Amino acid sequence: MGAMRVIIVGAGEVGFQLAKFLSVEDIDVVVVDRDKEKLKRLSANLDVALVEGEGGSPSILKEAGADEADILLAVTNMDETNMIACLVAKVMFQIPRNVARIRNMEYFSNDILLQSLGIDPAISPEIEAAKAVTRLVEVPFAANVEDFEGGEVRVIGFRIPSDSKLIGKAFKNLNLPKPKVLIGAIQRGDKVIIPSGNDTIKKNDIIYMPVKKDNINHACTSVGGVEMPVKRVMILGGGRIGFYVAKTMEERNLNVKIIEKDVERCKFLLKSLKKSVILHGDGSDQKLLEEENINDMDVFAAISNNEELNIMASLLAKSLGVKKVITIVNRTDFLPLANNLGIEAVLSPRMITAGTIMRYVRSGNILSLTTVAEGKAEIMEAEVKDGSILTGKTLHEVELPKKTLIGAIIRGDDVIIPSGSDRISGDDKLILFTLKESIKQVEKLLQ
Amino acid sequence: MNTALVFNLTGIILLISSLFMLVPLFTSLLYRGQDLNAFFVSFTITFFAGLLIYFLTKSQQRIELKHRDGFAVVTMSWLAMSLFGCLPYMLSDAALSFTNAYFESMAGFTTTGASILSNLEELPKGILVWRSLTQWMGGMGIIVFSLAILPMLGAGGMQLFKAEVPEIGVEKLKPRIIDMAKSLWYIYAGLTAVLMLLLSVAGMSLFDALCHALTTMATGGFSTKSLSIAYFQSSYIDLIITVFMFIAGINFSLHFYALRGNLSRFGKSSEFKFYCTVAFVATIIITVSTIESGHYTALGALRYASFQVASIMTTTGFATADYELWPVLCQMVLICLMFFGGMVGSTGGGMKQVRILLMLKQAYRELYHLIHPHAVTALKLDEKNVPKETLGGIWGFLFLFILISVVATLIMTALGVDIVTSATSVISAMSNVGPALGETGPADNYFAIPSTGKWVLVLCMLIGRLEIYTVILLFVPIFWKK
Repeated sequence: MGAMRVIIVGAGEVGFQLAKFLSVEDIDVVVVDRDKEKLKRLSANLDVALVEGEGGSPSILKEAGADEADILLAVTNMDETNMIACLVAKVMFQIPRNVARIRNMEYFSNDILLQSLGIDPAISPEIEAAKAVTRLVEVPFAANVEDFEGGEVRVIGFRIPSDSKLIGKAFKNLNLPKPKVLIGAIQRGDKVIIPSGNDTIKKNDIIYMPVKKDNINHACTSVGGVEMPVKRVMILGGGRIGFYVAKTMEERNLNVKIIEKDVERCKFLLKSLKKSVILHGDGSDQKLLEEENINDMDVFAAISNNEELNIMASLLAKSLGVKKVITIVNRTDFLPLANNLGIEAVLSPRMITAGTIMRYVRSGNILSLTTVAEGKAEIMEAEVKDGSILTGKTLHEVELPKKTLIGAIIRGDDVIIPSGSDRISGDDKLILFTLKESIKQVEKLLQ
Repeated sequence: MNTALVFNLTGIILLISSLFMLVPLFTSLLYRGQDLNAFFVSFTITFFAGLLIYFLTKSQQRIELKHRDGFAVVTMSWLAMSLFGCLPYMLSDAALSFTNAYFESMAGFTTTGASILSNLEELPKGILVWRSLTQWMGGMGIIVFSLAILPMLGAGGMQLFKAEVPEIGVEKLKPRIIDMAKSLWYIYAGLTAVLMLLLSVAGMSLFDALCHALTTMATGGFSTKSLSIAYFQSSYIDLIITVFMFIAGINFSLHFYALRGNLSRFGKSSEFKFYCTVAFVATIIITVSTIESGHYTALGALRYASFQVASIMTTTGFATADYELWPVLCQMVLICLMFFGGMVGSTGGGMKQVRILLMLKQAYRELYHLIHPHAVTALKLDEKNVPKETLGGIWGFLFLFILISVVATLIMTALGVDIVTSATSVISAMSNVGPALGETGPADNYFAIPSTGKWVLVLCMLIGRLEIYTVILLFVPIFWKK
């Protein structure tokens, strides 16, 4: 048995990111797309095989090596193409796992349809993005929130403000108040560091900490974040993402205002949402924002389809005094730039989608997984099986690969922030922080 | 351009090539040759030079290789390899001057097989193995070899691969470049081993069989005998080598599929059919012509004609007969074959069969358009449309090939070399064949060419081996602009 083979249908932004994540590992990646120009972009940047043609065509999939493939990821922006690709993959080539990107809600929520098409699972970028935005509204001091164990354990990314007391301190001298908070990774610019005792914290770093849901406020104050209850949320863009976010916010009894520039869409929102204030206008219009008391808003979420507008409106909201601003950018090459603008949280739906799909590619005992900084690091939740070489060892004794750290041990309902003397037992779940280059060894260790 | 990174990779490739020097070193030990010292010193210098370059330019950060850097790395590596590869020739009993040694070294790595040396039989065994081995390294390409053993090059490897192997008609056999490079080298090494076995069964000594297997699969053409293959006077050996030269001139991806049991690829490849047709027609012309002129009997004519056609067309350059004694028609046919070369993705040189084939198709298409001005046509190769850019690339390649050949010939004649020798030796060098006509025919060598002329030919060999663009780019101002 050779290396794992993954077929990616669709060489757009999501396909590109996935190919990038996978190709640097020991995985054979074949990308299928009918657009030559998109394939050219891939061939110039990545070490993957390319097949030009329709992703739903059996002969094209055969050419892409579907006979030996372990996973098919159908991520074009056409639902129909993705569905057919999965169907062909399942029926004709018996590929064990077929992931499809599905936009249309009618398809997305129809399990029987998905099942008979061989799609497991369907991923909607809009829903993934909306979930991410919702999590950020729930944990307002965070720049990034990832859920594990259905949200019972969260990994919180916190951006170090310029006046933080932690700046310049080495990790061993941090002295965070009890109960302990552990920092599993630092994102600095486009790099990720798995910290050791001598690393220091710098301004604008994002630190990642695993936290039990009930302890989030404590974690917030320990690292110098300001707790603030969220009551009022303003959303720019009433598209699919905006709509899902607004709906969830309504369910949590928050006051929501949505700005949408298309009248027809406004009418739809009015019909589908119960009590949100629907505003027709341009989000970068300062008058409109002031008129609607932007300075009283707890969160401003610029999540329209227009990323330039999102960035401009976010900067405007920031200057008008909003404490928490969330921005969505689509082009992943904008991410590092947008991260430097002082906006608290910058999200890319395509990157989130690629990250979500990655967890289905990872094999074995990895239950859940999320990527940090364009895939440079991964945070994963892994199950320790009874016979594993890890069981019965203390963290001191476990020989972890380089650049890897156990951030939390989940034992039943307990979340243990471990120290070196803690012992791993069977049926534990571990939250692991690891850099890209060590992932292979981590997978091996967990088997 | 990222200079540090380019030097760093060149250092690595130099390190890898230095390891190949251990082969002649052990040969020398085995035969208790006089050249043991020469190889020991050469290996040490090359190894430590590579190590030094590597460590001096090593950077903490991982930088990605841009495609521009790829061209520089490949050209630099070939120049550096040839430079260090000429040490044994200078230090051993062969005691060549720097110019002669560099010429011999470059003729080796580029699989040209043009030689300065005479009386090969008197040379130490180590030197003979080294000559053959340089051709073998250069045949499949040392960059491709490095890619096969160094996973760290990653995506940057694709840039290097593209700079050493032209893109047209070469498909990615495996998703990852490292696996593809491995497959190519396995096939290459496997065929070499089979050939070595066959040659020793046919009566060569093990040593000769090894050397000739290495240079045949590389379509190189260095021999251990001054008389080349003619020395052995064996029709079996002639036949075996004819067949294997022909195999080495075939696109290796066809071999790859054949080994997986998919033989139909041969029939589907129009380049392969063209390659066979060209070889067949040329053999027939020469056979008939040499029978006519009374040189050979029918069977003998076929034997010598097919050998010489395979040898020149695949740009190997072995000789079983002095074709300069043949009718002029035969000589002209052979010169034409030099241009054709092997298939793309083979170890052969020249313009490559597919380029000629596509140009013929394009010429026909132009004529067709004159008759049917409104016709919509597409240029197809193996049932796939050939993009305009590819055709443009081929026109450019053709033009540069001819331009460089003309300029090089001009310089050669300015040095006082006669016109037949000048023109044919330049074409021979550009196509990586080896023997030419006139002063540098199959029975002569390149010793008498003036120094400057040798350097011109050295450059031609490198330009030809790396298929023009990769080398020429470095001489174009836009390459150096930020």
